[in-house]
Amino acid sequence: MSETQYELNVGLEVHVELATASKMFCRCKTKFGDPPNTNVCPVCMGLPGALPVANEEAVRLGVMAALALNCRVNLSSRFDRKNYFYPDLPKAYQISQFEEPLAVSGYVELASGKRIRIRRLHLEEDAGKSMHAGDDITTASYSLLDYNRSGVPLAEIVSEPDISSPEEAREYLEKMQRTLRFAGVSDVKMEEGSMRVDCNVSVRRKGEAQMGVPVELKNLSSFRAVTRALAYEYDRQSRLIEQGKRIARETRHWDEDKGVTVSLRAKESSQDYRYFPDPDLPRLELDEAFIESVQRAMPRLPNQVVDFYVNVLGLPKYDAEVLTVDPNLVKFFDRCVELGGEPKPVSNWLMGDIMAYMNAKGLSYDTIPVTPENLVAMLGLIKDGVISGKIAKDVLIKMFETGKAPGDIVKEEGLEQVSDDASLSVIVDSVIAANPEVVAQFKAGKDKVLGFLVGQVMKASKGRANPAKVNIMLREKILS
Amino acid sequence: MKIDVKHVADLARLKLSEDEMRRLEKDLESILLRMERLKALDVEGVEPTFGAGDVQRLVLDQDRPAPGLPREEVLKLAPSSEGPYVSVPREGTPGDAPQGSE
Ligand SMILES: [Zn+2]
Repeated sequence: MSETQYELNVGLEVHVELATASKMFCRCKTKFGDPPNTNVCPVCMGLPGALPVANEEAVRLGVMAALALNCRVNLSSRFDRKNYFYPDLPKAYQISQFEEPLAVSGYVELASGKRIRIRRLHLEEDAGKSMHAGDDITTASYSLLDYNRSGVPLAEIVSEPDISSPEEAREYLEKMQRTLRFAGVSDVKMEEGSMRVDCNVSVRRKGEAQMGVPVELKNLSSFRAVTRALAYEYDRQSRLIEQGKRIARETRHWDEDKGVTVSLRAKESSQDYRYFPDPDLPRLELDEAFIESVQRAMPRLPNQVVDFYVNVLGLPKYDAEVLTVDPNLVKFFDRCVELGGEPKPVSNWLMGDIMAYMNAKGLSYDTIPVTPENLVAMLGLIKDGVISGKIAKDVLIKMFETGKAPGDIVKEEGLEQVSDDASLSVIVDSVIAANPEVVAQFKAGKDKVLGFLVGQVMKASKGRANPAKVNIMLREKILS
Repeated sequence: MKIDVKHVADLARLKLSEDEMRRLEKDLESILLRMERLKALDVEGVEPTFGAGDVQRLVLDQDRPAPGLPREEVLKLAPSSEGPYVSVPREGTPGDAPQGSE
């Protein structure tokens, strides 16, 4: 089978929980991780007679997300009931937007310049959480329900089937995640479920006009799962076409451990959801002034930050991309530059030792234990020759652990670089005395061995000697 | 118009006997007939309405959390519960929920 004969077409449905304090249609708390069934009321429990009251902030964040993703916001949209029977949905319908979504026609631009079009962005409410009780998932005879999540506001973002490789899918998701995080509309954490992804995948022979049969993939709990599942489906579907077999229109479940997708059920058609306008909710009418006010309040988005770092601060594109992984990291970096830190050294320390430390400790960037003031002060100490870059690495760890200023740490621990001639001279003399053979080689013209001697001096001084000075002094002492 | 009662029952997760299905098919057909009559009305130039109230524009509430129901009360409303959870007979296969559910 020639792989290149087939083309992959993927559309993604992304659900993100909007970062409101209360739910979409009632004022129950949305807090993640609260004890089961403590944030519920007659509305989100679907009790008879309860009426939904829409959350202004959810609408504002939905508009913010739409604008951040280059969508056109509809000034008038509507809520519909999506009917299905499942225990995590106590009303037996989900309030969503079907016919007239909040926003349409956006896009996410990939590094290649290719635009993945967004068909629509709409508001809806989340379902509760169900767990299967019993021996295991296949023999469980009943389910346990927690309705804390029932009614949490969601934005569903549906792309056109423009994605043509697992890598493009990943980039699209990463770009979207960063953008929404910078816009402040959602936590967008896959691991906590505040960002969820479903894929619609089809494969066709290259050059064929008609799209292949769409297969829906579920249970994709990480970006890695998305790329693996897509690669698997591409393989499976192109093999079926090769064998002249029919591809079923169905929903498949990604099995992370086995690395395969398994058939779950035939895909429902939208007709089965029997959508109709929710009679409890009049039209959502917005005006231009409101949209403009949201646009004005838009924080800087990753693309703009990258542009600024590259074109104004002169950072390499790579650095700019790495730093924009998190808005708090960007804030930290900006503050360092404001304080007079040189962009490239600051970026080097952030991308190197600081990120390594943060990752190793599993810390999040909203609480970096080192302050921008202290990092800039440390860079100053290096520049002024008070400490070497090598010693600075140890100082930084101490800064992380104690929160102290680098100057104080250097003083307390006696880490200043040794530059005074008298102290250096003693160490240099002892190294020369201890290595007569190497010294002889250097005298005979083997210039390279000097590096070894410098290294010995650095070692003897525990890294505190000023290497430039050591170099000069060794030469003088041996050759004079 | 013919109604596929079996399909509708499946969507509603209802198990019906042949007898019930025949009866419901008749009921549903008479409801549809009424709708057909409404369809015959001339509504040329009449704006569609989706709600019964006078409010034409969705009123938005401030995002201020308020306490809901105490858990004991919530669990009392459910036919059965276990610990802090509502418990229900298991439905379909794992993850067998339509879009939006998990
Ligand atoms: Zn509620």
